[in-house]
This record gives sequence, structure tokens and C-alpha cells, in this order.
Amino acid sequence: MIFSSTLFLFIFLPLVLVIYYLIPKRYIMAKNVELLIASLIFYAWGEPKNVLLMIISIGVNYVFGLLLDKYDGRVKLRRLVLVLSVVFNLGMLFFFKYFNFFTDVLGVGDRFATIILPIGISFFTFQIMSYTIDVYLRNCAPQKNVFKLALYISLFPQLIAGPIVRYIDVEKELADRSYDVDLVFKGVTRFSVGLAKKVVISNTVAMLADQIFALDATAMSASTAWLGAIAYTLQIYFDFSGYSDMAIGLGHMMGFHFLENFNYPYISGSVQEFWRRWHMSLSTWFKDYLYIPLGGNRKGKGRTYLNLFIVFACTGFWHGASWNFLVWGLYHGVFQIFERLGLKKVFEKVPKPLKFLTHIYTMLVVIIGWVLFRADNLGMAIDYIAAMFRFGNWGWTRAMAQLEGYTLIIMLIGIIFSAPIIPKLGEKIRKLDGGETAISIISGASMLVLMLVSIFCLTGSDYNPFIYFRF
Amino acid sequence: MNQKPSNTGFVIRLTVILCFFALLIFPVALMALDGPDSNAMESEATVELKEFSFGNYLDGSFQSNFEGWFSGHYPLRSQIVKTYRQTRYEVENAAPVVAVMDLLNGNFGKNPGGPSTDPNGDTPTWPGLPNVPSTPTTPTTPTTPTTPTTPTEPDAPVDPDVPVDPDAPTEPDQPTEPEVPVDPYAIYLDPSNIYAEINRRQLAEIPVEPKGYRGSDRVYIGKSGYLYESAYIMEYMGYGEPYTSVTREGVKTTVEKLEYIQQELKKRGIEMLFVLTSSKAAAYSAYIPEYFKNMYTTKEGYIRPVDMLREELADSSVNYLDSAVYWQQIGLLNTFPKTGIHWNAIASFESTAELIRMYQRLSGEMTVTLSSKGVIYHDDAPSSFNNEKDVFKILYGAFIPSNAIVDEDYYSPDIQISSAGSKKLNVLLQGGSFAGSINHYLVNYGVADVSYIYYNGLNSHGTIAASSPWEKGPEAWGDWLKGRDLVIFEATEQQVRGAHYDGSKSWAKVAGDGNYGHNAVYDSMYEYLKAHEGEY
Repeated sequence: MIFSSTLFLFIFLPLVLVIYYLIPKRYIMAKNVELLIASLIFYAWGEPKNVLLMIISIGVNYVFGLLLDKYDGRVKLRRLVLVLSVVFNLGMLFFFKYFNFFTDVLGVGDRFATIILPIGISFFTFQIMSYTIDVYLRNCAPQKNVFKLALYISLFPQLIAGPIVRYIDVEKELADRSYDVDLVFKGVTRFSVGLAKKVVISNTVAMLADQIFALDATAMSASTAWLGAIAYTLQIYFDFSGYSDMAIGLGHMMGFHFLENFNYPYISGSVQEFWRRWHMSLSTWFKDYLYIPLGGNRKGKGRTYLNLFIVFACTGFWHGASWNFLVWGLYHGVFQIFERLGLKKVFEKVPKPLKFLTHIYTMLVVIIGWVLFRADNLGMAIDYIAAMFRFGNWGWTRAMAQLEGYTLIIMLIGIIFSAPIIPKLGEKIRKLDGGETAISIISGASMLVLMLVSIFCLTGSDYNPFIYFRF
Repeated sequence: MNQKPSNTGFVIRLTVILCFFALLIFPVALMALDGPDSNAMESEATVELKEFSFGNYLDGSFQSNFEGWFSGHYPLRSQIVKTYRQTRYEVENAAPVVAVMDLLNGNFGKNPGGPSTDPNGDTPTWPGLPNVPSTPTTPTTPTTPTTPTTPTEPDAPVDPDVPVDPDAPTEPDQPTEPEVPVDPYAIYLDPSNIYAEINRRQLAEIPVEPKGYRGSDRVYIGKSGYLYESAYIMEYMGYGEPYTSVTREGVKTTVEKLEYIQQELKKRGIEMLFVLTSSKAAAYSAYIPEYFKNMYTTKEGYIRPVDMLREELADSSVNYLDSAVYWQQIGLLNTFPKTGIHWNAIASFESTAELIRMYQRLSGEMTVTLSSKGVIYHDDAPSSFNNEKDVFKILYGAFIPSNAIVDEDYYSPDIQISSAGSKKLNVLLQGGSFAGSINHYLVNYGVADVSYIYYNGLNSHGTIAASSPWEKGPEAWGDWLKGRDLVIFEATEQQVRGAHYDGSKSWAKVAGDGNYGHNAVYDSMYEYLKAHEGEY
């Protein structure tokens, strides 16, 4: 089940929320049970068999948490439990996500059956690991109530597409949380924005990106290649940030405060800044649980660069079991290193009127990186990037052949709203007399419009005529 | 919920929350009161709700079925779809949007008409004249039915032992008359041609590149409003893997099987005919839009699967009718409407009438014979069996914009029936949707009783065999062939490459290497006949 489906919008979500609100506020345990059941149903709908895997994983990590508490004061045993929990969790992730990749690399892939990847395993595995690691580091107490732990791991708003919620960020809210009209309103408007981002913008530009990426890259004109790359750049941002907005919005509606996952990454002036704004929950996770334990930047420049390389290789690989994801991660790692080697200092010296050049540099790096990410394989990615720079074959007409008027309008809207125009406008309005009321009216009206438009787009794109006389 | 002291902001926020919930709850509430939306969008495959079972749930089929059913049946859905499509249409056709797109396409101020060129080649095609697959032969105008000829004596063999004197003087070449250029359109406009007027209208239809709304859902607006299903253009132009992977060997094998089937059926007193129906993209290539051609590249060395098939059929003993060639021979140019992807009533009638004549020539039997004495003009598509506005309805999603392009007129044949002393045939017809027209003329004009297998008989649309040989196994052909006079296999040019482009369920069970359409059909009958060879 996905958020942007009529089943979720019209059946699952209203049912869950109505029951949730009907349970009196003081019965937090009952609310938690209701959410847990709803989350398991949500996951089991799409993964009827693998829901057991998630339950087993919850159970095993619950035991790990208890063992870490039990062996408090016994350093070696605690370390052993931590190692076991990391091995178990990463082992599970490796088996389901990377086993077939490595057997193919070793040339023995045909001896093994294809293992189906459970939806969301990358997200909930990292969430589980953040729990056991934080318990080990004594950043939080182990959760003695298995249902609360299960709820933390399986909570449906962030289960299959993030953000990666750290246990310490929601520990208190699992036990006690409140919501009021303001918070629910915030959640409702945030959810609507996220839905519109996904259904109106991302799905529309996705069709253009898919169309262009399906073409033969070796024969593609440069302008077509750029058009496809830009379309995908918009698609992935609005898809991913849209999902995060919906997750955060749903959390607000239920009294949870999830951390932000995106902060307008496409206004960045450097690749370092980009990674401080893009998928922040993942980069924070890797920073806290991999980069810093490796030494971070405290062991000299050489070691720092190596650590960055490792972190970005893992970041790329986390996204998918394929060489192009790995290369994408390393590609960003290389630019991180270049910036630390001196490029960042150059950018700092750029005078303000020319600061846009750093933005252009960043966007060029990011857009080309997305080609590596999107391509079916490394070979195709190389062909595609080569096409982007084949300026002798600019082929403007061919690029425009791919573009429809409606898609162009959506792309322009996407480009405009990649910048924090709305928050800045909101700040200005708030400062006026009656600003808060005006914000409520504007937000509310926008929510209704966005929901209606999203429902229309969702329904319209669901219309799938079977061409009766196809032949 | 906690309530703040009453203030405007609080009331507004609460109202917004309630509106949000109302939007979410309204469809299901309406469904509970009124039932699911029964106004299924025209031309949509309706999903039937399956019963829940643990097995269905575990393999995910229940979930996908339920989601499919719900997304097609929640209240007001059809109205929402229409509004969405209308909005898309209006946005894309809005003057500023069209102006900007023209600017981006470099079309501003340019005359969009004129001869079209294929960006993958240099040959301009004449505006208004569809491609013809071979050189026109001596034109014949369809007239009154002819009596079938009696089989003639085979030609006397030439004595191979009579030597030819290589040094014998030959007559000097006589001076030849200078060649008079032949007007390739004369046949179509000849006053004695009953189709001259509709041909003239076709030739006058200058291709004009479309602006604004281009279409969607696999149906694209071509030049001058001619609608295409993208799969046909993909096949014709050689875009896409399914069309470029057909091999000569695959086609050859299938033709050999057809030869065998024909031979075995003949021994059982059954004639076999194979009819190849033209695709709109091939017949009307002049109207394929440039924007579509600009999106793709033809694979180098691409040979159309249907051209391979034509060559193999020509070298075989299979009795076949190539509709595109036949229309050319009889001087019929106007064969497809703007608004449909199927042949028009005239084209389908003429092909069917010729099939009947072919049977008569092969069997020596007199059957009901059909011919046309002229054209009847209609304001709207005349026939439900032909569905000459099928993709028009798909494209506009059951709302019709006021400026949607439609055919000025639709045509049907003024049919003459000759049936004195004629036998009514018993026909097994297997084919796609084009075969529906053949079925119509055979059945509704008393020519034959027909059993019509739509594709491989597994699809639930149309006139479907209740239980196809695929479900019962090849032995079922025994019953299917009993008492038949004629078996007709129909295939469109686009079907030569095998399974449908998007793998729709009607082709999901087509077996074989996918190199030729109808593998399952021909293979199955071939298997049966092979197993029962000699049982005549």
C-alpha cells in the first residue's frame, strides 16, 4: 500500500485516524496498540509473507536491547551483544538486498534463486540498528515494552520510505504524546503538500524522465539528454520529499514529531551543503553510526578522506544493489573530498553577485549524479552522460518532441518550488498584523486546493483504458 | 482534542481539518449509501472483485485485485476522470501554452503543412497518399460477382532436352515508344471506380502537424487529426525491441506450419485462407506526426516483420489475401477513418468479399456472394462491429471537446447479395479485432455460420469461444473442425512480432518464442493435425 493510492487515502487513513481520535487521549497504550495493528496491516497488505520477517526482526532486537541492559557493566558481553545485533541486522539486509548482486559478481548467480527484496527493509533495518546502537551507547534506555518497540519500528508513516527515525527522537512520544488542533492542522497541511508533490509534480515529470531514459542513449541528442536528466532531478526530489512530507504530516496528526528529511537541497552552493539538506535522516545516521566511529575528521586529512569515501560508498550502496548506485555514492564522495581539498575555500571567496556560479556548479554535479542513479546500469549511465556532452548533436527539435505543454508547466512549477519561496513568504506574512490568521486561511485554502488537485490527478492517472480493438 | 480559547485562527484550522476528513471519508460514505460507481469508463477493462482466500492473500493477487477494483469503482470517479482529462486538454490547447510550445519547437509563424519527411530517411511521402506496399497492377473495379472458374489443365511441361542455339541470330531490337509517365493516382480517381469520390477526399487531406494536446494513454493525435495507437507506429517505424527482435526463421517456421495446416485441412475437405490486415500506421504513414517520429530512432537494418511474412507467404503455397495489396488492386485508397485504428467498413467489406471469392475459386463451390455497388455516407460511424471511433473515445476519455477532430463523413458499402442456389458455409474464424468485421459480413449477410475465436480464446472481450483449445488441449480441435468448410486465420501486420507490446493478459499465454503472433493458435492446431495425420 502506498500513500498516493486511493485505497490508502479513502479507506485506510480515515479509518485509522477516526479510531485513533475516538480513543480517549489518556489511553496512550490503546492508541499505541491501534497504531501497531494498523501498521502491521499496512505492511502485511503489500508484504503478506515478509511481515513475519519484520516481526521476527523486532523480536530479536527486543531481546538484544534487554541483553544490553542485563549485561550493564560487563563491557565485553555488551560489546558482543552489539556485534551480534549488527551482524544479525546487516546480515538480514545483506541476504535480502545484496546476496544476488554478489553472487552475480562472483559469476555464480545462476546457481541461486532470486531473492525478493522486502519493501522498506533498508529503512526499518537502519531504524532497528539505531535503537540497539543507542542502547549500547547509553543514549537511551532499552525499551522493556515489546509493543512500544514494535510500534517504533513498524509505524506506518515512515516504515517503507522514511524518514529514518531514530529511537531517541520518539522515545518519549511512544510513552506519552499529545496533539491539538494546531498540530493536527499542521499535519494535515503538510500531508497535502506532500501528496501534491508526489502526485502532481513527481508523477508528471516521471513520465517524461521514463520516456527519455528509455531511448537509445548512444543516439540521443544532447538537449534530450539534459531534458531527461532535469526531469529526473525534479522527479526524485518531489517524490522523496513528498513522501517525507506525508510521513511527517501523518506523524503530526498522531502527535509524533519526526525530524525533517529535506531542506531545499537544490539551493545548495556546494556538494557538502547539498548533503546537509538532502535525505538528512540517512546522512545523519551514517555520520553518527559510521563516520564518527571510524574517526570522523579527527585522525588527520588522509583518514578523513578515506572515511568520507567509505561513508559515501555505503550511502550509494544503501540505495540499491547495483554498481551504478555504488559509483553514484563514490562520485559524491569525490566531490566532498575536492571541496575539502580547497574548492570550498574558493567558493567562500566568490563575491556575492557571483555566488550563483557555486549553485550552478552544485546543480551540475547533482544532475549528472542523478543520471548515474537513474540509469539501468553503469554502461547506460556512461552513454547517457556522454550524450549530455555531445554538444555537436544538440538536437533541440528532438528534445522538444518529448515535451508536452502540461509537462512543461509542471516542470516550471517544480523548479520554482524547489526553492524556499513559500516559507519565506510565510515569514513575511506572519510579521504583519493578523498574520497568523492569514497564514491559517492561506494554508487551509491551499490544503483544500492541493488535496482536490491531487485527488483529480491520482484518479485521472488511474484511468487506464484497455484498448478493446487493440489490433 | 485540546481546544484553545475561541479565536478565528482556531476556527479556521478546525474547519480545515474537518474539510480534510470530509474529503477522505466522502467517497467511501457515498459508496456505502449508493454502492460502487457503476459508470465504468468506456473502453476500460472492468475489474471484478475476487473472493478473499488465504492463498489469494499470500500471493498478493487479492490485494492487487481489490486495489484495482476500488480505484475503478469509487463514487464520482468517472466524473473526476472526465474533469481531469478536460482540464489537461484545455491546458495543453490554451493559446499561451500552444504559443510557447511553438516557440520552443521553432514553429512560430511557420506553415505547418506541406510534404512530410521521415527523419530517419530522405524519402518524402506525397501528402495525402498513403504508402502502398508494392507497385500497382492492372486495376480492377469490383463489379457483379463472377462465377467460379473450373480448374484448368496445368501448363504442358517444357521439354528440357530441346537445345537452344546460343548463336542463332536474334531479331534486332525494335525502336520502342518513349515511356509515358503513369499517374499513380489514376486508378484511384478513375470515374468508373465506385470509390473515386472517397479516394479523392483522401488525397485532398493534406497532413498538418498537430499542435496543443497530443494525446495520451497510448493513443496519439497524428497529422490532420488522424489518431494512432503508438504500438502500430512503433512496429511500422521499427522502434522498440519487440518489433526488432522478430527473426526470419521464426516467420518461416510459422508459414511452414500454415502450409501444413492448409494441406491437412484440405484432405479433410476444409479450405484454409490466411488474411493479412493492414495497420493504420502502414496504410497512413503520411499522417504519422513528426513529434512522434522525433522521439525515437529506427534500428539500423530494420525489416518489418510483416514484410518478412509477405516474402515467405509469396514463396509458399498458403492461400492468403494481403489486404493492403488487394485494396491497391481494386483502387481503394480510403481505408481507415481518422478516429479509429481499425479499417473502415468499405475496406473490411471488400476484404471479406474477396475472401468469399477466393473460397469459391479454391473449392469450386457456389456460395452467397457479396459485392458493393457504391458508397453510403454517414455523419457518424455507422457500425458497432467496426467501431470506427474506438480510439477517439479512448483519447478523449468520454468527454468530447468541441474542437476534437472527427471524420467529415463515415462510409459503408452499398451491399449487393447474390445467393441463388448458394451454399451457406460453416466457417471457423480465428483472429483479432479486425476479424470481427469479417465475422459480421459473413454472418449478417447469410454467407456463413461462423465460430469466431478471438485471439487465443482466453480474453473475455468480444465474441469469445467459450472454451478454447488452450484450455481443453489440442484434442479440442477435433470438435472445432468438425463439419467446417473453411478456416480463416486473420492477422494484422502488427501481430507478426508476437506477444502484445505491453504484455496484456490476452497474450499472456501465447507460447513459443514470441517471434510470431498466434504461435499458440497455429502450434496447437498443427499439433492436433500432426497427431491425427491420415485420419481423413
